[in-house]
Formats: sequence, structure tokens, C-alpha cells
Amino acid sequence: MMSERELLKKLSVATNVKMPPDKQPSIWESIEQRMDYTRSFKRMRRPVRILGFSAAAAVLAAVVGGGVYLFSDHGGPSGAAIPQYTTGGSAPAPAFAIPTAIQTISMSSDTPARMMLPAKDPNSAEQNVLTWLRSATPYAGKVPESSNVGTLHGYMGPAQLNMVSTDGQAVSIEPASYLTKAAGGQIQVQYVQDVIVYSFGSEKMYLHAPELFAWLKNDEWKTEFGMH
Amino acid sequence: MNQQPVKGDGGSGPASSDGRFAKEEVQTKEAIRALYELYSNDIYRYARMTLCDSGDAYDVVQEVFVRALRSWPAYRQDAQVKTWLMSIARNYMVDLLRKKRTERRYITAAELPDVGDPSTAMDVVMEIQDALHQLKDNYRQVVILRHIENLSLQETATILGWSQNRVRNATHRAVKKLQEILSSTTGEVNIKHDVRA
Repeated sequence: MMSERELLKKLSVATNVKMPPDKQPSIWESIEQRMDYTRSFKRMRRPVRILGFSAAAAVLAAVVGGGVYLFSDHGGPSGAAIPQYTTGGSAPAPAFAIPTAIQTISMSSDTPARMMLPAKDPNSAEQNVLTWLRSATPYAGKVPESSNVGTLHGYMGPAQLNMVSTDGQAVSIEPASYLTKAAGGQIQVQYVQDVIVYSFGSEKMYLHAPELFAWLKNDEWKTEFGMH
Repeated sequence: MNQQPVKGDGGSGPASSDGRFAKEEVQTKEAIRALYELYSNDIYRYARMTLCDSGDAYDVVQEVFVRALRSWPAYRQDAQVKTWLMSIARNYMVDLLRKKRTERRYITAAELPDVGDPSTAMDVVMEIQDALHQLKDNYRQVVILRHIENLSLQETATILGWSQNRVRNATHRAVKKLQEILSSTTGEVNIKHDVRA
């Protein structure tokens, strides 16, 4: 039988096992991104702690209400029609706050495990996304609700873009989609053409943004994001 | 490996302003970054030898340091920082192992390049991993912590939440069992060589 001394000598070889050198920085990058993302949500929860839930909800309702009022087709006190929101040059500014500068940007993949992938060139990715967002317009159509597809053992849906602005606002963007159950129990992801969901905090807005939609839905983002 | 990042004043009281929050966050991140530089390979090795899968081991490294970042303000420095990180890893892996019990993984040649250090004798590492996986979970843990991570009795006891006596006895039995396993493996190899000759 192998002696204890021989065994311990063998075990000591395993002490040299290390991560590949390129893996260490990429894992740290993922850790940082996860923390930045979580932190920004904590920051948004802070006003709720300071103001109290009711007051924060009232403020939120006022902001959302204002947004709805701005985009809805409504008449003034005298019955005179106020022009609807259009994409023309004289149109009012969108009610959603487009970040002016981005602190972090990453993609959550469309795989069941939802891997978080950093941008290879964050500046270029940020500029593209901000440009597409600036030309986005609110989408007034209806997005169908997902069918009851039961419990899914993994994520099923489109890839999602995650950003944290320099003022700590967390934003996520994904193509507008819903799940349907096809014949044979197959579950399908259906997309609303050219429409994206812009989420910040607990708010969601549907925006018409064809380029951003195509970039996300057609996996064009995959050339710009991934483990280094 | 004995150097430890110094904790800032972040955990001593409620934050009073955004500036203070930001400062604490930066301090925490710097401290954990230093710990990452020092101990990420130790966590990886512990996870890799326990789970026998490099992908899962990377997940463990990421999760351990995310959890460390979150709980750093509450860390009371009454345990060695490496022991604290290893305990986080151990707790996370207990859950992982429970989930994986039904889908036991085997070592494949495809995992070989992920072990990292090129100077390591890969055949020996594979042999050890294979043998470790024939041990029951508790025995595997004590062997890895005592003889691969080279932790003391007390540190191992802290990580596993056992008494030092239990660690001592389990290590003794685990080493005996491992000797048997590795001897039988070597025997098989010798017989095959004899036949070829």
C-alpha cells in the first residue's frame, strides 16, 4: 500500500493548481459589474427609505402620470386639441431620462444561465446605444401578455442590455417579447417588431427603436460583448 | 499570504451622506480587490478539487467575492480573512453539491487546460481528483483543506464548523482511505503494464 508520506507528496502537487492567468481579471470584471448593478438598485431604494413608501409612491405616480399625460391624446380645458407626440423636430422631449453618460455597460446573454458579458470596447458600445436611444419614440401599441407556459427551468427570452449611468441610475433594455405555447407544448418567444422595453427602477416603457431592436434581437451585440 | 487589507471606518456607524456612502464603497471595493489578488487562486483550487469542474469553480470564485463585498462591513476580523472566504466558499459549495448529487460529473480530458499552472504535473492532479471523488464529502473536505490548502487544524475546524478533534479523526481516516484508493489504482496500472510487457 502507498505510504502516508508518498500520499502527502502527491497531494502537495495539487497545491500548485491555479486559475489560468487570463481568467483572473475577467472574473474580477464580472464581480465588479454585478456589484455596480446591485449598488445602483440600492441607491434607487434610498428615496423610499427617506421619504417613506407612500410619499415615494406618490412622487413616482406624479412622474409617471406626467409622462402619460405628455404622451396621451388629450384636450385642453377649452376643448382645443393639443398636438400628439410626434417624431418631428418640434416634438416635446421624451419623458424618459436618457442617461447622458454611462458608468458600466454589459449584456445578460439569452442562454438559460444568463451569463453577464462585459463590453469589449465600452465607449463605442455606449455611444451606439445612446444614439439609438435619442432617436427612440414612445410606442403606443399593445404588447400581448405571455401565455401561461408553466415553470421554466432556466431563462427563456431575449438578451438584455444593462447599463448604469454616472449618476447611479440602473437601466435595462431588451426587445419587447412575450411567450406563447405552440402545438406539441413547444414554447416560443414572439417579438414585437422594432419595439424595445426600457426599464429603470420599477418602471417600464415601450419604445419604438428599430436599430436598437435589430442590434439586440439579431445578436449583433455578440461581436461587441464577451469575455476578454 | 499573511497580509490583510485594513478595514476602513465603513462598518462603524450609519452613513450620513452620499459622499460617505461613496467613500465606503470605494474602500470596500479596494479591500476586496486586494483579497481577490491574494486568495482567488486558493478559492479556485478548493472549489476545483471539491467540485471537479473548472466552470463551476470559476462560478464559486465569482460568488465568493460578490458575497464578501456584500458582507464586508459586517465582517468582524475575529477569524483569519482566508478562513472567512473559505467558509463562504464551503457554504456555497454545500448548496451546489446538493444540486449536483444527481448529475455526478466525471473528469474529462477537455478540462485539462483549465487547471492553469503549466508546471503542475497534470497526470498527478487528475489522479488525485479522481481519488478524492471516491471519498465521501466530509473526508474529501478535510483532505483538501488540511493537505492541499495546508490549513491548520483550527482553521479547518472553523471552516467546516467542526471540533478540532473531529477534524483530526476525519483526516486520519480520510488519509487511510485515500491511500487504499490510490494503491489500488496504481496496482491496476502496474498489472496493465505487466500484460503489455
